[in-house]
Amino acid sequence: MIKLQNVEKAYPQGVGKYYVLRRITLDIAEGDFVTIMGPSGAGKTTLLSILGMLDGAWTGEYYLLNAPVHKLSPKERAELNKRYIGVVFQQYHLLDDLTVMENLDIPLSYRDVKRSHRQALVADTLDRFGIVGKKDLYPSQLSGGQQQLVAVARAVIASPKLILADEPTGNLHSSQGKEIMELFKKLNSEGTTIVQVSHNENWAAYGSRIINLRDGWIEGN
Amino acid sequence: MKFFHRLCALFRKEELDRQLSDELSFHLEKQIEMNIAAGMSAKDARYAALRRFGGVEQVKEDCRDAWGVRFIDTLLQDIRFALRMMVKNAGFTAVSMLTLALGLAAVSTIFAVVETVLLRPLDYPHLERIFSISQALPSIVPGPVVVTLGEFKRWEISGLFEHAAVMTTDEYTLLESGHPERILGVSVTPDFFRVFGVQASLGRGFVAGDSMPGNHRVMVLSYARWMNSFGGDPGVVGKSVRLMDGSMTIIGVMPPSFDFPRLSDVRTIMPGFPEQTDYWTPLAVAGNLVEQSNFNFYMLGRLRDGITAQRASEQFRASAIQMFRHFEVKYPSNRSVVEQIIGSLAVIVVPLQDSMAWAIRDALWMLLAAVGLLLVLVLFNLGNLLLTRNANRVREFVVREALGATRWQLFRQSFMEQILLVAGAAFISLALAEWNVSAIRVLAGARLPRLYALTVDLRVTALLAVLSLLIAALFGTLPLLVVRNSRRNGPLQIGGRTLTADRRTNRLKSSLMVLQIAVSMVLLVAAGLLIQSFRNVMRVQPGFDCHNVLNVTVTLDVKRNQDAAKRLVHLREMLEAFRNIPGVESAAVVNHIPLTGEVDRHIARPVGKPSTGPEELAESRVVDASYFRTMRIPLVEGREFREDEPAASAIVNHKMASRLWPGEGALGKQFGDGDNPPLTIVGIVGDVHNGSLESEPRKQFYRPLAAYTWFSEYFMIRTRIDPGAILPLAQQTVWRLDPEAAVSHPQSMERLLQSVTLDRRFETALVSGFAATALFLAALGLFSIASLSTERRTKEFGVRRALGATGGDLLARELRRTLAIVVAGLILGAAASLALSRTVAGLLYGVVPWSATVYTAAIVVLIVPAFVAAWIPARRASKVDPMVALRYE
Repeated sequence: MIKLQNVEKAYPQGVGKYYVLRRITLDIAEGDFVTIMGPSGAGKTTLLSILGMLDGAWTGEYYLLNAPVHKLSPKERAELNKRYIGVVFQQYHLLDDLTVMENLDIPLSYRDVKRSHRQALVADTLDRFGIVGKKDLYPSQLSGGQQQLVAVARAVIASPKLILADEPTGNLHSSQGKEIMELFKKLNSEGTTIVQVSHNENWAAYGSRIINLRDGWIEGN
Repeated sequence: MKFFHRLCALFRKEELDRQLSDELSFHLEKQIEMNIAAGMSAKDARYAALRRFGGVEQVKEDCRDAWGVRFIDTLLQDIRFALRMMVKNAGFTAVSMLTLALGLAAVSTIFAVVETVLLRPLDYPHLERIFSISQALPSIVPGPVVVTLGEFKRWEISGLFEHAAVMTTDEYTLLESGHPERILGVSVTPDFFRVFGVQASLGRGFVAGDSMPGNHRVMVLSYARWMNSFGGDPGVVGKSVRLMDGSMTIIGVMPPSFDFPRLSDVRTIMPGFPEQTDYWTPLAVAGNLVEQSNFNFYMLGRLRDGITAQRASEQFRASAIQMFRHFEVKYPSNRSVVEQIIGSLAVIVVPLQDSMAWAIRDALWMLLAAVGLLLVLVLFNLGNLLLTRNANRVREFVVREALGATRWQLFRQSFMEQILLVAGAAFISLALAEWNVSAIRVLAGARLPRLYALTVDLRVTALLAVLSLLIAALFGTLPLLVVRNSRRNGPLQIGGRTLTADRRTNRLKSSLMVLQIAVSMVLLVAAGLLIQSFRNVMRVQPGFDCHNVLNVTVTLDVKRNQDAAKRLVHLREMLEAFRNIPGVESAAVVNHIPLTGEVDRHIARPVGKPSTGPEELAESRVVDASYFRTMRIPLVEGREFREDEPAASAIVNHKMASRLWPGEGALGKQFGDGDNPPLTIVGIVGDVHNGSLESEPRKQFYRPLAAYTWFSEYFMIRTRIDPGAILPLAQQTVWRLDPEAAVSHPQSMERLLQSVTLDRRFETALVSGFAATALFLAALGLFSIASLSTERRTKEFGVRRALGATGGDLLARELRRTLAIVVAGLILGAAASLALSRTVAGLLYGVVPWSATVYTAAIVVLIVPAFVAAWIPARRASKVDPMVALRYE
C-alpha cells in the first residue's frame, strides 16, 4: 500500500542542511498495523506527515496505492489524502465552536458528499462509537478520552483505507489509552491500515510491526 | 538636587562603577588582610571575607539603586526594547499609528473648533455681564431682529445697564494712502467701548460730546487699519483724515485684540456688518433716526451687577409694548400690524458670547460627539489589531511573569511600547489638526463665528496629551488582560486545546463590526447624496458666462459728481477706457452684481391687465448697452440696449415675459414699475441666478443707464487673459481719469461663483471627510477582526487541511465569514439611511434621498475595501501549512 524509496527531509542550516529523515526506504502492506517508535527528534512525526501528505518538502519516492505521490501536484496530493487517509492527533484538535456532530461532519463536507448522505454517515458513526448522547455537546464539555474518541471517529467517518495517528494516546490516562487502542485494533481487523507514532511499548504491541527511528534513520523494522 | 545627582550619575555611570569596584575591592582586601592577620590561610581568608561581605554584585546593585540610576536605566532599556518591537513590526506600527493619528486629528480639530467658538472666553473684563439685546417678532419675520433707536433710548435709561450702546454699518472712501480706498466700519453710540471695558491703546474712545452735531467728525481706528494706512504712526491721534466727503479727526487707536464687530460674529442677528472693522465713528441718537423707527441697530450692554437677563428681558418688553402703543395712537392705520407685533414680541437678552454661536452651538456639540464616537471606533479597531499582535506575544508575557516579572513591570514594558506608538500618532495628529484647522479657517472663517481665531492652542494640545496617556495606559493593559485570561487555563498552556476564540466575544465583536459598517454606509450614502447635490448645483448654469470676468466697484466723489448727466458721461468715459486696456474683450456697468443677492425689487404689473392677486416681486438692475454682451447673457428676442437708449425702455428676462404675458409676445408691451412711468419692453434675455444657484431665478427686468446712475457702480470686465492680471491696469485706468474715485472689492466672477457654493462645499467636504474616515476605519476594523480570527485559528486551519480541506475551501469559508458581517452591515446601514432620508432631504438638490445610484455607489465603495480587508487574512488562512499549524502549541 505504501512504498517509500530513499525519502529524505532536510532543513537548511547555515551553508549546509540539517537532515530530519535520511534515506527512508519502507513498505507497508494493506491491513498492516504499524507503530513508529523512537526518541524525541527522531523524525517520527515528520515521517507520519509525509505519509499523510501534510508535508510536501521532501525528496525520494513515495507510492501510495501505486500512485507516485512524489510526482503529484499539491492539489493531486490533497485529493489522494481526501480519498484514502484519516488522521488522528495527540492534541485531538477538535474544533471548539462546533458540536461533536458538526466535528464529525467536517471531513465529509470536504469530500462532496451529499448533505442527506452526510447526515446518515454521521448518525451511523455516532452510533458505532457510542457517542450518540454526546452529539450536541461541544468539545470543551467532553473529557480527554471522549475527545480523542470523537477525533478517531472523525478520522474514520470518510472510510479511509489508511489511518495515521500521531501519539493518539499521548494525552490520555492508561484506561482511556487502552480503549482507543482497542478501537484501532478493531478498525485494523476490519481492513483499515493503521500507522501510529507512539512512545509506549504497550500500545505498540497492539500493532503487527514496529519501525524504530533514530536521528532520522530507520534503525529497526 | 536629588534628580540632578541622578542625572549626573547616569552620564558618569562607568566612572562611578569603576570607583565602586575600587572601593569594594579595597574593603574586601582589608578584610582579607585582617583574616590573614587573625591566622587564616590566604584562601580561607578570602572566602571568609566574601561570606562576610554577602555578595559583591548585590552590594553593587544596592549602591546603584542609591544613585537612582537603575530606574532610568530600566526605563531606557524598556524604551530600547519598545523601539525594537516597533521597528520589527514596522507594518503594524505604521498602520496603527496612522489610524490613531486619524482619530486623534479628527477629535483635536473639532475640539479646536468647539473650544474656539464655544469655550474660549472673549477677552473682556466681566464678560458675564455683557449681553446682546435683540427681539423676536415671529408674526413679522422669523429669527432675531435688531432694535430701533426709540427702543434703545428707552432701554438705555432703564437703570439696568452700567453701559449700553448700539451700532450700525458705516462706509467711507479714504483718500489718505495715495489712491482712494473704501474702508468699512461701524457707527456706534458713545458708550460702545465702555460696554466692553476696553480702552484705546492710543488716544481715547468716545465721550458723550462726540456724537453732538458739529463734534461728530471724529474716528477711532482699528489696529489693523492704523498699521495698513498709517504705518503704525504713533502721532496719528489728533491728525485729520481726508475722506471723500470731508475730513475726520482721529481720536484714538484700539488695541489689536479688539475688532468688534466682525460679520461672522454678529450675522445671526444682523447681516451686513463688515468682515473686519476698520474704524468706529460716533452715532447721534437724535432727530429723524429716532422718529423713523427703523429696525436697524445692533444693541449690546453691560448689565449692572446683580441684574439678571430675565429681569432685563421682561422690563424691556414692557417698555417696548408701551412704545408700540404710542406708535399705534400716532399711526392708527398701522394698528393691525402693531397689534400683531405686540402679541408676539419677546426681548432676547443673551450673553454676547452665546449670541455669536446661536445658530451652530448644537451642531458643534453633536459634531464633537460624532468625532468622539469616531475615536471610540478607532480604539476598538486598534484594540483588535493589538490583540491580533499580542496573540503571538502572550506566551512571551507569561514566560516573563514565570521568570519573576511583576505585573507592574509587565505593564511598564507594555505601556512603554504603547506610549511611543501613541506619541508618534499624537505628533502626526497635531500636524493633521493644524492642516485641518487652516483649511476650516479658510473655508468657513468668514462665515462662522470666531473661526478667524481658530488655532490648535494649548488646550487642544493638552487634550491630545491626556488622551494619548489614557490610550497608552488602556492599550498597555490589554496584553496583561490577555495574560490573566490565559493564566486561568493553567500556566504555559496557552493555545492548549482551545482552537477558537470565545464564541460570545466573537459574536460581540461581529455585532460591533456590523454596526460600524452600518454607520459607514449611512455616512457614505449621506456623502454620496451631498456630492451628487453638489455636482448638480455646479451643473446649474448661472445664466451668464462667469469665466474671465473681473468685477470692481468704483465709487465716485459725491460732491464732484452730483450732476446725473455729468456722472453718466464720466461712467461712459471709464467704460471706454476699460475697453481699451490690452487683454480686455469688453466692459459693462451694472448697479447690482448677479449672485450676490443684492438687488432692487419692484412690483412689476403689465399695463392694461388687471391684477390677479399678490405678485412675486421682480428684480431690477440698471445696466449699460454692453452688459448682456459682456456677461454673455443670451438674447432671446428683440434687441439689446443702444448707447442712447431712453430711460423708458426695458429688457425683461424670459421668466418675466412668460409670466406676465403667457402665450403672447412680450416685445413692445409695457409694464408699470410702482408709481413710475410705464416701461416699454425692447428685448427679452435669459434668466440669471441671483444669490443662490439652488433657487429658481426670479422675474427680472433691466433698465438703461439713462434711467439713473449712482455714485457707486460695479464694472464688469471680460478679459482674454487671467482677470487678476488686468486688475492693476483697471485701477490705474480709473485713477488716471478720476484720481479721487475709489476702486474696491475686486473679484473674479468665478471666485464669486465659488463663494456662492461655499456652504455646500463645506458641508459636502465635512460629511465626505467623515465618510472616508469611517470607510477606512470599517475596512481596518474588518481587517483586524478577520486577522485576529485567522491568527487565533491557525491550528483550526491546519486541522481542516489535515482533514481534507483545500486552500480554496478555506479561502471561501473565511471570506464567507467576513463578508456575512459586511452584508449584515450593509443591510442595516441601508435601512438606517432610508429611515434618516427625511433628515437629509432639505440639504439635497436635484437628487432624491433614496437615489438608487447613490446607494449602489455607496455599496460598491464599501464592499471593495471590505472585500480586500477580508481577502488578505482569508488568503493567509488558505496558505496555512498544516504541519506548522499543528505544531503551533
